[in-house]
Amino acid sequence: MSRTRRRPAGNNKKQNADRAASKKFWGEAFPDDPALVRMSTDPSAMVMSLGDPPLRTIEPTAQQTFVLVYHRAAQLAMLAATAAGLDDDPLGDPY
Amino acid sequence: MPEELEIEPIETSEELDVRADAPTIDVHGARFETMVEAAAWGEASAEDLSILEAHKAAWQRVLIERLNDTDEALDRLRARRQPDDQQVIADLDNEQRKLELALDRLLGIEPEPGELAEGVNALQLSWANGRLVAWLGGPEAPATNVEQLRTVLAATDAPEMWGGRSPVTLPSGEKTVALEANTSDVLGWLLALSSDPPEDEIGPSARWLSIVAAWAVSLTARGAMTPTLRRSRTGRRNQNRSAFGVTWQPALIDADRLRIIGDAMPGAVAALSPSVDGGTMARSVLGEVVDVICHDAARRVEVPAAPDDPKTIAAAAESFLARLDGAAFEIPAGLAGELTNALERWATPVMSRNYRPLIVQLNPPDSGDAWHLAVFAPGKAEQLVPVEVALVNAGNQRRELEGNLVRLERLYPPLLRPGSLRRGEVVLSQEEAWELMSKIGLVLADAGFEMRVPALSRRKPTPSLRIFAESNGETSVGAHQLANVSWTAVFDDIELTAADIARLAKEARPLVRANGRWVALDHADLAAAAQALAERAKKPQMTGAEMLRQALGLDGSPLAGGVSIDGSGWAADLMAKASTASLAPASNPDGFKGELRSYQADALAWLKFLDTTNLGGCLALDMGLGKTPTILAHLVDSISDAPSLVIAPPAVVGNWAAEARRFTPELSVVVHHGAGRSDHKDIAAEVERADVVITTYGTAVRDIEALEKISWGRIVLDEAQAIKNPANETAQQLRRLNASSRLALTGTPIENGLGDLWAILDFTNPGLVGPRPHFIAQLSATGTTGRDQGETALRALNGILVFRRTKSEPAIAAELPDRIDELDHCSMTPEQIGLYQAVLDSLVTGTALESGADNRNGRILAAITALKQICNHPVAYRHDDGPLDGRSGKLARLEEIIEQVYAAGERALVFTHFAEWGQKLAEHLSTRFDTPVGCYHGGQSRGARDQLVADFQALEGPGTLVLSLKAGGTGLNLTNANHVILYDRWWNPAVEDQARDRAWRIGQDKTVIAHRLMCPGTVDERVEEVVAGKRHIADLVLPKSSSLGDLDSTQLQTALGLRTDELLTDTDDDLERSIA
Repeated sequence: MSRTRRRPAGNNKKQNADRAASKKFWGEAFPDDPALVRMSTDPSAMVMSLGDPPLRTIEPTAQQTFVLVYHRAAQLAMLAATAAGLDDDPLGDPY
Repeated sequence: MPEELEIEPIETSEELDVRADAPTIDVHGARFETMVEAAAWGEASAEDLSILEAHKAAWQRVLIERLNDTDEALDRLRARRQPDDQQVIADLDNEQRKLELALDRLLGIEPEPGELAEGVNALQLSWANGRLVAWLGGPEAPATNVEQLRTVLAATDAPEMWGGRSPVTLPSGEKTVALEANTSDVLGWLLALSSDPPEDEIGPSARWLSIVAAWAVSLTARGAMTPTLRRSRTGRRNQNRSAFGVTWQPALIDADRLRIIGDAMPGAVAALSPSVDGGTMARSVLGEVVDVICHDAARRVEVPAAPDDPKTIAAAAESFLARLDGAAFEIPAGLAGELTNALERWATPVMSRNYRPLIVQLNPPDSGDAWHLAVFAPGKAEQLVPVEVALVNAGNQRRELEGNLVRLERLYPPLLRPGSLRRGEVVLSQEEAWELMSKIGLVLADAGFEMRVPALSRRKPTPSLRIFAESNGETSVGAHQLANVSWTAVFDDIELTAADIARLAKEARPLVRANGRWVALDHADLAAAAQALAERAKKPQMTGAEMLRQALGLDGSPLAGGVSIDGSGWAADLMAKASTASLAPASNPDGFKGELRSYQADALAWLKFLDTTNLGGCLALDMGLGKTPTILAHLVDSISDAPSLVIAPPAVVGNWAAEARRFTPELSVVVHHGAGRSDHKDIAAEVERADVVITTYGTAVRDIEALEKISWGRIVLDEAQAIKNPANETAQQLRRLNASSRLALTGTPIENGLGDLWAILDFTNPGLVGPRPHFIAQLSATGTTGRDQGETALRALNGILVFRRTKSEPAIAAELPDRIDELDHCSMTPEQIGLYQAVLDSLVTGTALESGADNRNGRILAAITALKQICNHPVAYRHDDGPLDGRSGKLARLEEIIEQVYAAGERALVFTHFAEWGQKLAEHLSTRFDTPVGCYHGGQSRGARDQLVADFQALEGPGTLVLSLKAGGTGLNLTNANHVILYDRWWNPAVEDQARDRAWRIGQDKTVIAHRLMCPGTVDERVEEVVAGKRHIADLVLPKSSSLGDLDSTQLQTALGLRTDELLTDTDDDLERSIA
């Protein structure tokens, strides 16, 4: 008995297409590792770099409030990352 | 043209490839084919599968035949192109997949890496309107129900926040049950999915969403987000006013990364919105996660109150600021539009869909202190374009480019400093450059700029001093050789002269470059180095010994890194060899019959190093780590004309001789001890034929006149704490011995203080370590106290004058067996010998007159007990209240062991089968070591005994518990001790094993050292022989089938009498006096 299996070529194209569609839907293991998280030493730097927010008459108050919210948001993010084991080595190369 | 799918041929024929116990079946028959099909459809019974397993070759053949049939049928149907055939084709397609899967499983073919295994359900996550939808699925996987889904969620530690929702439709058209949760409720769980390694039960869709969520968290931790205004999904609307809410959006999104992640999105993520592409989906997830965290943050921050009825743009702004937490608020639609536009314009530089960061490059100076900073825009093909040039050529990108340059200038004001040649370029001072590299650069990077700054060391360099020695033609050699010296300071690997230091000290931020990284030097360190160099510049010449003391920290060092020696001469060579010796462990020497552990091989390399440098040293391996075999390996490795002299306490002389026979049988060993030893005039002849002479401290001192006339190759002092008092007779007399090198062995080189160590090192290298007070003062100045101070000192000298290893070092502990058994030979005092002989004489005389075997047996057994008590201590026999000190060699040995145990901060159990003696022993040890010692025996109440055990198990420092063998030998858990001392012996080894197992049992995390104390030449040794299985108790002296009662006087004397040639005494006069 032959131990090889004969497979018609035309049929193969269809099967390959089906297999590709299946793979696209179910996906493959994502090659990248997740981004490790490091908290900025000044999380409000980016928003401060944009200058005064366009909140007329309350720009100074807005700046102060933003600083508070950005710092707290960064802390919460870092907390979540640490709990999930995603915190970066604090002594690693910063750049 | 047909394509052939190669399948690994099976080597054997079907007939041969049948299991011996296989049930009989016709593998070419219809029933077998039905079984193969049922297995492929997943419907085979256990019995059928068992039959198939037994006929694998036939199973494979049938599958291939069925696949070929299906292939051909599909080919025919497709060629006909009849619409009515579509359903049949679909069914055959399905059948073909199942047959292929079955064949893959049979052949052990795994799915490709990353691909989901066929037929396996995994946890899948889809994204729908900011919510996560969980379901189970996989290619060709069977249908699941909601219980199975909840079970999988629970197995991944998902919070119980999942609610029902409509099913998810799969590509096949089938529907599968799903559950839904808010992102805010399950964010922590989602993030954790990405940090764990991919597992079968976590589908790629779940991992993809998790990775995108982690990216969003990273952006938020950097502060890369902006608030904007969106029409609220929930708020009410009317003609003029609408409900709005603040939404937080991610900023500084790396377009390349977004593209890669988007392309990798499994379709299952978008199962509920199939038309959405991966990039859009990733943006949606990033936005939702950032929004969730920022809303939560805003709720935790006190913000100004919102106006009641905002009608102006200023009031609208106030409402916006008050609702950063996402709560809906109403403002006129016109004002909302105006505010939204303003916010979007404001955030434009960081919200670009194709954000490419400006590059900030810092170049170090070629000379001087001027650092050049330049800002570039990314050009084509990784080209850098000066930002001023890029602005001119930016076209419609100009606004964004300008916006980002302005952002950079706001964050880094030196860029706006007047006098720059171009916009985006500035010269920085050394201090500014350091600030940028170490601090501000990190902020700029988080704010969306690419920093290209020289690498910097974030570690503070440790300053040290270096001596450069040059031989000046001095004729003397070794430690007394004078050399010309120059001194430099070293900061990690940067060597600085006094002039370099003076220049750097003037700079506001002294920077040096080391190993390609910039390092900032501390002004205080520079000042200390300058002062140290100035002080030492006055001494242009030093002896080798002086340099060595500097290197070992024995003459102090004002800098934390100590002193190193470079150049040539004795001290420089010595330090160079020491570093080489530590890197190259020695191999097992020829003539050594054993296997050295790795630390013993290191010790052997160190001993060789001592030989090459003519130094003596202290081998300070912890108790139980094998000092004796290590030294024997060294002695056999360096055998020479000059013999070696080993001086040891009487208790270990026998052990030395036994270990030498075992490990180095080629060595000619002479024990110079006891009454029968060579007298003064014969010692030289005795030594002439020996490679190693073993003696005791007492004998060595007594025979010092003869021993000092011999040129020894090595003198080895075992248990060298015997000379820790340099003023005592032993220490003084032993200094008279002549040897090429002197070695000291001890597990506890520092028992009472650093003075002990000085005494040992001053013996091994007379004069080298300097005066005692100076030695103690220098090594005490480490900021530590007690045992830590001692260990710090030993570390400073380790590898040069001392070789220290302890059982607590993980690498050492890993090599050790979990139990070490040691036999300690103990001496007898004149009092013990006299008593022993008297009891024996009385027995021999008494039994000669006694009639009846039973009476004789009783007398003999009582005498054996008495003799064992005498070996323990005269008081154990006499039951008197006299002092215990100085009356028993066994007690002296016990004290030596306990002293070492306490010095290591460890704990011991002491077993005796004489309960009364145990109590006396406990009282004596309590007084002797000023540490309470309990005694556990059968005369105590249960509560008292339990309390003793509990107290001992709770002990943290040194401690001992004495136990009667009968009461404490079984059942107790005393793992707090890692030393077990069997003070006296019992005939049955199982009883001793049980006693030892109180400490050596589950829960013990250290190596247990079991000491057996035994007096050679006495009844103790007879017991040892029985325990060791060398002799049967009845065979002590008797012919078979005799009993103790049958012994005549001579036989009794042989069985129980003292064997003076084996007996150990502290001094030889003891024995002579006692026998007389």
